[in-house]
Amino acid sequence: MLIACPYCGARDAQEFTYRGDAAPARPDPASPDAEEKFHDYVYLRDNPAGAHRELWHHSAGCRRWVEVARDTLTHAVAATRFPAEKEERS
Amino acid sequence: MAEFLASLPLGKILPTGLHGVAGAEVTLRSIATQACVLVAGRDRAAVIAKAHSAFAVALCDAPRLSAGGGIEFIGLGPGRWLVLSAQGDLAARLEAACAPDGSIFDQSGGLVLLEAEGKDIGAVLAKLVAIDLHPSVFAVGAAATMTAAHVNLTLWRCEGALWRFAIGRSYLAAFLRAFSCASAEFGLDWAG
Amino acid sequence: MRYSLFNVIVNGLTGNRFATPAWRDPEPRPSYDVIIVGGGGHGLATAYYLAKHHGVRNVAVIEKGWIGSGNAGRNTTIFRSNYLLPGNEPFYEWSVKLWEGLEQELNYNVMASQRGIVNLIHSDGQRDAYVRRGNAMRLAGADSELLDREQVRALAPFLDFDNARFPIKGGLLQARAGTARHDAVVWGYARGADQLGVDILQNCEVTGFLRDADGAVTGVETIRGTIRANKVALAVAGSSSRLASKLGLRLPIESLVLQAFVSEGVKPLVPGVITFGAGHFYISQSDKGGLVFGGDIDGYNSYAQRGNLPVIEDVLEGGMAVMPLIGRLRLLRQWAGLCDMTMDGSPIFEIGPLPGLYLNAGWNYGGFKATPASGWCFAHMIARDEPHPLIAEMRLDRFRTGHVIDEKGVGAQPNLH
Repeated sequence: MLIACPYCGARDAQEFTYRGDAAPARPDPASPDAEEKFHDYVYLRDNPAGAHRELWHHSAGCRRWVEVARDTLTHAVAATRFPAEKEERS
Repeated sequence: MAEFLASLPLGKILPTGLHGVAGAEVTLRSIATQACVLVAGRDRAAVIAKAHSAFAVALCDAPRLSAGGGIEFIGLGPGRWLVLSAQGDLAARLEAACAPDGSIFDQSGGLVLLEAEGKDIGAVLAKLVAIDLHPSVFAVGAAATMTAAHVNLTLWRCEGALWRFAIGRSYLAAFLRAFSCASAEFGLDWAG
Repeated sequence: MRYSLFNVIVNGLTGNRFATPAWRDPEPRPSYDVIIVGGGGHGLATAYYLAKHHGVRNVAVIEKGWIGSGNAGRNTTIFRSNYLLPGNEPFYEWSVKLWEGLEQELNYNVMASQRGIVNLIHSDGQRDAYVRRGNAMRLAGADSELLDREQVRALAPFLDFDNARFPIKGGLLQARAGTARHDAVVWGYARGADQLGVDILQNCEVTGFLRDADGAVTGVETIRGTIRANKVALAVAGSSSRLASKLGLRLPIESLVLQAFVSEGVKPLVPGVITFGAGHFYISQSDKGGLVFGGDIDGYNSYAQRGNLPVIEDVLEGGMAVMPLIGRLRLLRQWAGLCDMTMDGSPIFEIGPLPGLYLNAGWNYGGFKATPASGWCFAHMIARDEPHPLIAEMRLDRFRTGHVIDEKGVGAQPNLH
């Protein structure tokens, strides 16, 4: 499985460390329902069979987090980007 | 080579001299140099501009070599460069030029710089790293950080058949084992 | 038909003309008291114990493919109860006790063989951890024995005891652990449940759920028609999130792939199960002679039911480090199963979270050993609407209240459990 790092180029998935679903966003701890939201944020996942946006750390390369759009059924990587940047590579 | 390595303790540096078949088509030597890592803060453009005015280098924010003023910058990641120079107090010069937008970390003690050369070096490297090193995609000046035999290394292509590597010092013995095995069929001259 | 030596001889001499199928292949009825989605070991065991111990016989087990085509047919057939935490250990020990009598219970040869499991020890710290684990096992009524280096050598002289990185210093033995024939477990429970009146509906994929006005689950839509039920129970392991999403539910589960391998057959070599936790490699030998082994999960979300090469390399490196002789063997087959990895590495039993729904999920990479006790406890939960005491801590709300059962202590990161 090759992942196109936006900085390093196409690299084997072995160079990356997997974090998981990129969708959960850290809730505001000051919000009134923070406890409920933190439960969902920490524990609940869509876990789809198909298109999935996920975070991989390029730990053996540029050591940056890369957001990868990947299919969990076929392992095909559709696009990658650094999470802070809008531009995608495919 | 395998029999020889079996006799060499895992943590011991490969002895200097000729290894593998006769002919010594591949040469490997360490380079005496200072090494720093330059990390840009939020304003990456400011660091690039400051490096340009201090060292007359067009600092490239990509995995490749940018050289100027006797200093080499090798892109490690976005806004991060490995900086090499044999002259002067490198850390102090970088600090004077790039702080506070860029942070400087002296890695001279932690890193070993190696230089390999030979007409078969491409075949040796093909056994060690999992990236495409053909000149059409990995031209002179191109750099890459990855692993070889589970050892993290940064390598870049210089002119001709010359390559340079940066490796963590404590991994040198492991890297030399892998490199000597990969180059044994061509003959290796390890100068130390 | 009750299986016996007499029956084998009679049917053999009569060319099996009077033999009957081990279970029926019925058409779905319009409604049942209980529908169990998932015809793996857990679902079939649940149906068996529901019918046997709770008098609930109007039950259907619905399976997308053929029974045992999922993880029940993709595991490495080990049962054991060498767990540490009080939320887990009594449950797995009850499972081992059920394994011990399973063949007599089911009148079916599941080839359960208590050949023991040894966890190798390489350092003082690891020995301390295994002493603690062994004591926790004994507190729960399980057996455990600390072996020194020479005792391990007597069991498995072929291991590399003087590996430079991980020299073997001893081991933790559970002698009552063992292996069983995974398909036979599925078939045995299917036959047992069928004889008690349970309908096993194969090739019957669930496409949706029936809900009443209050949101309660009242049945399932399948490719073989609508089937109503008072209670719908899910036991679908790696597909739990997929089915839960049809009910608008999100679970604390990620699906990852675990690979397993078998070598060509050789003469009896490996006495039981040996685990090399430091490099993550474990191995046993099947009755046919093949060495059955595995290692880490492929570390990223996947529904592919196949593995990737880097993990194969990693597993084989671990194997070569601890047991160099495997380098002389040829690899025969490799396969992968979907692991429903939870956020704390322990399973989930739940009444709900919707009315009419019962959930059995989150078996991580260790569901096979739990098959009998999982069915036992899930049947209790479905029939009585209360958790069996052995699974009282395995509830879904443990993540909300902080009472997670995290054997490995790595937190909410499923690929690290």
